[in-house]
Amino acid sequence: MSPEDNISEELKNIAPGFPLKESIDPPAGYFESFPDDVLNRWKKEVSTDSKKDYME
Amino acid sequence: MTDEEIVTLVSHPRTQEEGFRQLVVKYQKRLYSLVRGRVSSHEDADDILQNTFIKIFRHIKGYEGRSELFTWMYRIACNEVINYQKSTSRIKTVELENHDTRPAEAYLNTDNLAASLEMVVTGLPERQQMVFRMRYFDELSYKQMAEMLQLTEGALKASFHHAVKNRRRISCKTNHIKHVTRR
Repeated sequence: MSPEDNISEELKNIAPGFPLKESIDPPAGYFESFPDDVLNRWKKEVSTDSKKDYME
Repeated sequence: MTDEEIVTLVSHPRTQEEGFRQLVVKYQKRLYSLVRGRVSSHEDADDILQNTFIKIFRHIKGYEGRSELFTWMYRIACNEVINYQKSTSRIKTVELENHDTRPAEAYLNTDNLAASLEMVVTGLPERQQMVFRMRYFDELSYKQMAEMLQLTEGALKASFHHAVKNRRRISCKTNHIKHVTRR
């Protein structure tokens, strides 16, 4: 990310004191388990789709 | 891992799952932040984020690399948020004048986050609202915004700077009204 793309730096230059966005964090451990959660759901959907294709 | 490497992994059946995993690991935080800023609870954000990635997996074969990968995913995430809002009607836009006048930062840790974010930008001209949201809340670069909106980076910068100044002016005006009505 170039310095120009850094929103904090940009705001400091154009409007010193302008409130910065605060990030809202998910519950602890969320990002550790999320990839597995979404991949498991994907596999389930793909397997359901293949079953449907087979039945048809 | 670069976007190109991820797309290559995804395009081969043998490495597809690893590609999907790398994609999620690389972009989950950024997309979560984008979605979470638009809905009122973590649970809603989680649902939308899962739906977004499932849609990305389904359609990534159609990604032609004409825009940045994130820009392409950003559009999908925004559409998922809109679909979710339509289906649940949980999010209501808020009229600036009908609400109290706490400064923006006072809202950012509340449960009514989505409504609060709306309040911060409502009252700005339409284009400034859009540019302000994309730059301030979603932290898109001017290059990414220019690609999506088909506008020049200079025009977008000008819009954002106007929006920041206008938002300050609106904030001062509402604080003044509050002060007068208290007397």
